[in-house]
Amino acid sequence: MAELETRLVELGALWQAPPTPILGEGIVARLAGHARPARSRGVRRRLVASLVLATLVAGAVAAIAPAREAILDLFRVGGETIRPVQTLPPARPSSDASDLGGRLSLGEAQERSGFPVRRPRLEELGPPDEVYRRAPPEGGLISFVWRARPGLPRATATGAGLLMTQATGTAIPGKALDPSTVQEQVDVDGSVGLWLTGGPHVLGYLDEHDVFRTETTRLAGNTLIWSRGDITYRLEGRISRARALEIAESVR
Amino acid sequence: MVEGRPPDADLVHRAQLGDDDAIRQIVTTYQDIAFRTAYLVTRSEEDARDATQDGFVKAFRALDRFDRTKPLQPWLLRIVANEARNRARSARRRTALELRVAREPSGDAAPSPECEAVAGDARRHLLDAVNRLPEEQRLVVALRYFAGLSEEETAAALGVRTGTAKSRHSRALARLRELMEPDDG
Repeated sequence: MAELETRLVELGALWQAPPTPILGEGIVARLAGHARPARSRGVRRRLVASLVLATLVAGAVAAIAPAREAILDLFRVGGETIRPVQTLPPARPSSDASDLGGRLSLGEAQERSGFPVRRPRLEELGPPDEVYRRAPPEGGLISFVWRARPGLPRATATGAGLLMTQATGTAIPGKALDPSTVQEQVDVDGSVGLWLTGGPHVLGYLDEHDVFRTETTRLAGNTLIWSRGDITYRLEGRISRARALEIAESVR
Repeated sequence: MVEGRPPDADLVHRAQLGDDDAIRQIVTTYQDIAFRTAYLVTRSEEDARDATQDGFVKAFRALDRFDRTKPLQPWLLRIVANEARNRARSARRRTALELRVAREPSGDAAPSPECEAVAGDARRHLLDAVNRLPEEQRLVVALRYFAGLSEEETAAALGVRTGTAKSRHSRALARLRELMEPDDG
């Protein structure tokens, strides 16, 4: 019955999508923050082959020596190292916070860290429920934990609603990404950030020989990574991108 | 003008070399069909916008893997629709398709909510039936008749082989006939 198809065509002609948003400049701007394929394609191809990359990572970073940019822009946001892998290294999802280091107060964390400790200033979030400090890395890794509550669902493995970490330097925990992880470059208050969703990530770090090592540690939910100055921040939890950006942009 | 079929090879080549104007031109040429496709998949303006933008960015970053002898549209639609499907899976707030009539049929004026028009009982009836199809079938009908995609482009947008898209299409039409039947005779 061709008549049905004719009627569908007529119906389709009457249907209008919402107006198309203006996309061109936003896309050009996002691409501009990324090494141009024409210049770095060869390097990238070799890298892809040698690391058996499952996905091409889009993270771009400003604070990297230009000569190494073609390689490193794939992997770093500030001090955070992102490395896609074919198979995730084994990791023990832990429900306790032991890997976050010792518990202390916000004031103590501020005193004992080699950098200004900042936190989100959203009224509904309030100060963190728990504060931890771990070293190495040098200067310490500060972790804030907010317990699950309405609007802040319990993240599967961490047992908390929201986890925020901050540290300086480059040898701080990074992430291994499995192929199902979706990575998206985002703008956090003018800085480049990475929004990771979908797949599990395993925390790891670059050792002094620039070798990526993993730690048995928690698996995270959605993650936003960004840097400001030489401090890198990471926010993890079962929250939306918009919510994560809102929290990140309130950090001071 | 042949819609959606500019001399892509040259444009793509320039975009591969990082020519911003070529990138803008590709976006301008394909953003409407990409956004419509993403909207039909997600049925959310916000998700469709994000999916279209992210899809374009991913496509441009992967442009050196694109075969310039092939048409660009199915390739772009595949990437954008994949982004859209990822969002549609996580979002559950889907709305039914509505018929809207713009004030200026050929102009840029956005259709206003008050302008929603029910275009006759028969059409309303058909649209209801489309909305009642199982999601997989609804989408194939929407992509074919509402977005106006070809069989090949529909398959690309669904991320399936052309044969699969065709059989889904036939099943959707058969199901639509069933749904229409009580009032159709």
